[in-house]
Amino acid sequence: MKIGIPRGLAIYEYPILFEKFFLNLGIDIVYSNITTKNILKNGINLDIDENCLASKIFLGHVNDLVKRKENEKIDYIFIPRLCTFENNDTICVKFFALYDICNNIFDSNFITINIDYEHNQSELKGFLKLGKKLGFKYTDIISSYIKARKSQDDYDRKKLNEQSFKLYQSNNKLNILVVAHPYIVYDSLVGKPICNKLEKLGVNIFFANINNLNMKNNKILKKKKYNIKNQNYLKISSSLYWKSSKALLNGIIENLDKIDGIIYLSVFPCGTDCLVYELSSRKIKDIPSINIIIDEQDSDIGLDTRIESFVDILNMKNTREILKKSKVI
Amino acid sequence: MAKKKYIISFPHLGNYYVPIYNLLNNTVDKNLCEIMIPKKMTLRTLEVGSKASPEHICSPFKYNMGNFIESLENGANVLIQAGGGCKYGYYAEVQKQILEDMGYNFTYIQLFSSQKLDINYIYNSFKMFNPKLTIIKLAYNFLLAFKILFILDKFEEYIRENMVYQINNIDFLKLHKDFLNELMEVKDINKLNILKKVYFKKMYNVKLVSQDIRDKYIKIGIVGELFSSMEPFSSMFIEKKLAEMNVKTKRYTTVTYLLFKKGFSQKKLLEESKNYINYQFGADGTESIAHSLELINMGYDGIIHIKPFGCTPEINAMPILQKISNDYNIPIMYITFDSQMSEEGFKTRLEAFYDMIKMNKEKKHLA
Repeated sequence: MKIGIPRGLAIYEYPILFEKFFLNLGIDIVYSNITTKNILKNGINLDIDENCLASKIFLGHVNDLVKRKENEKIDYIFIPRLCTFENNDTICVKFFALYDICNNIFDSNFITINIDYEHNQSELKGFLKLGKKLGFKYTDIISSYIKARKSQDDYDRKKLNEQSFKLYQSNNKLNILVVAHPYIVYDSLVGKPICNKLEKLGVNIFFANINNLNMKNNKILKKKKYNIKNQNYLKISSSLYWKSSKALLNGIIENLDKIDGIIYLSVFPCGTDCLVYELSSRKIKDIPSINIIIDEQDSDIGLDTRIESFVDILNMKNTREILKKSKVI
Repeated sequence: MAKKKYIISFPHLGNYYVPIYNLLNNTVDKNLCEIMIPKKMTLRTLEVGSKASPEHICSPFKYNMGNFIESLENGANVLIQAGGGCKYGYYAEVQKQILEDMGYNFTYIQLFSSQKLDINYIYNSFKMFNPKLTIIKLAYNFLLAFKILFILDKFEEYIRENMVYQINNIDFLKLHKDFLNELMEVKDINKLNILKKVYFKKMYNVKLVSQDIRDKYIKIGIVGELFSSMEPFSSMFIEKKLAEMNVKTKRYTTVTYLLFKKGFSQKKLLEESKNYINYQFGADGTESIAHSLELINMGYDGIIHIKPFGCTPEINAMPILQKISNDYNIPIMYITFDSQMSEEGFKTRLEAFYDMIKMNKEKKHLA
């Protein structure tokens, strides 16, 4: 059996979990190609024009897999449906409907996992249903899920350790925190070029989506409510209920004393981001920040100029402070 | 020293300022507080609201913001906001921060926080405005306000459905205006019942055209996002404009529906639209699909799907609506209202849609 996974949105939230689950069950997986201009173009043609860039890219990826389906003998295309999580967390409503939208736009075989704690569909239950639909035994499904969950947690922990190690290594470079959802910042058309540009300018990049809040306790049978440690995001916002936005704000607060600048990165038109970033940039005033919104018609040159000038300003600020300290000014 | 008076204000949503005003009017201590109904929505409301809001947030945020700013300019110092699904639950915190940064001084009350009702919190907030308030009195006032809400919704629904049929053009308009004014000042449920009887009788007595003429009218259903459905200013008075073109309209979304019926009807709606979707869409997405199918079954000639800019649940529903439109061969027009829409362009679109349906109908009739 072969399952195709489109490289967009939900997959970036759990980069290991789904992949390992299928592999543990002995299913081959194939990813869609990395995002290119062509994939985006196809996505734009398929999607409603008011939709956000990330969703257009996603549809482009699904389209890529649907086209390859015949040649590569892909049995199913996997589109997770994420809805609500533990502790009344939720996610952008886009994720609620992706599976149904693809079912209506494409004529193909789709398979989904429904994670909806509010309606009593926990992660484990979702995986059980998914595995059953693919025709596996419960014992196999559960052991595959547990192993996959562990790999995901290990992966998250490893990433966090790497990042904190990098933060404590003292060098003279600027530390810049990129605040963006994983499906934006790791995307090869949207986030990657910006990160590459920053690295070329000689800055250390850190990602807000890697932080302690994402580190879950490894209990498999999670209750609907439990106490979470490291809820640092409360310092910025008390009524926030989007899971991934919580993580981003947590990342900001955790790294606040070590960073020189913040880049808020979002795609047009992201409703959740524009509320959360607005609040965050109003509450955190002593660190320079820039808000970059990317749409499908962005020219690279204008973006480059903005990033370069932001880094220049940070550099100038730092030099001034050093000079002040040594009483030159 | 005389204590400063609380001046309470809230954002507009259609005519629902009536039950809110009634609730506050009966609950608060008049010596301590004053109630300020926000200024009627104008283009300026939207302008000042947009200026203060994040650029691409959905437009209800901007309208709310505009209402708040205009009230604050007129001296309000207590603002009340509710909360709900999708992004609405998070409006309150951001709006509070922005208004504070703009230099206004006010108390901000969010009645429902993160989709849950905290009765104790509501009671304590109202106690601030009336120290002698008992919980029974508050419950009674809430009951009264909800009853007004039901009656108002029922009244307005009848008017909406029959506005186009009336023989004398201003009957409903006058009745509606009088009824709203009376409802604002009602103090107990008995009086409300009497009032209801009087006005409903008047309403049913308004002269309408006969049934066989009615059948000739074009029927268009309106589905879509809740704010643009219920606040006529934000949808450029779409229902009124259609009525002027002699089109009968129907819409489902009312506050009664959202508060009391929505929770129970989710399963039914999903069942109705199971040929197209398997899961709920969040906010009003599922409704848009299920109600469109319902309207098609009822023999409506066309559907208009309305939403403010940036409404994700409704954008989600659009691909499915497009498919429904193809499958059932029914015209569906999608309209997005944002802060920079021109009224003339909108009117042209409506007229073109109307002409197209009319021509379709005549063609069918001939064939």
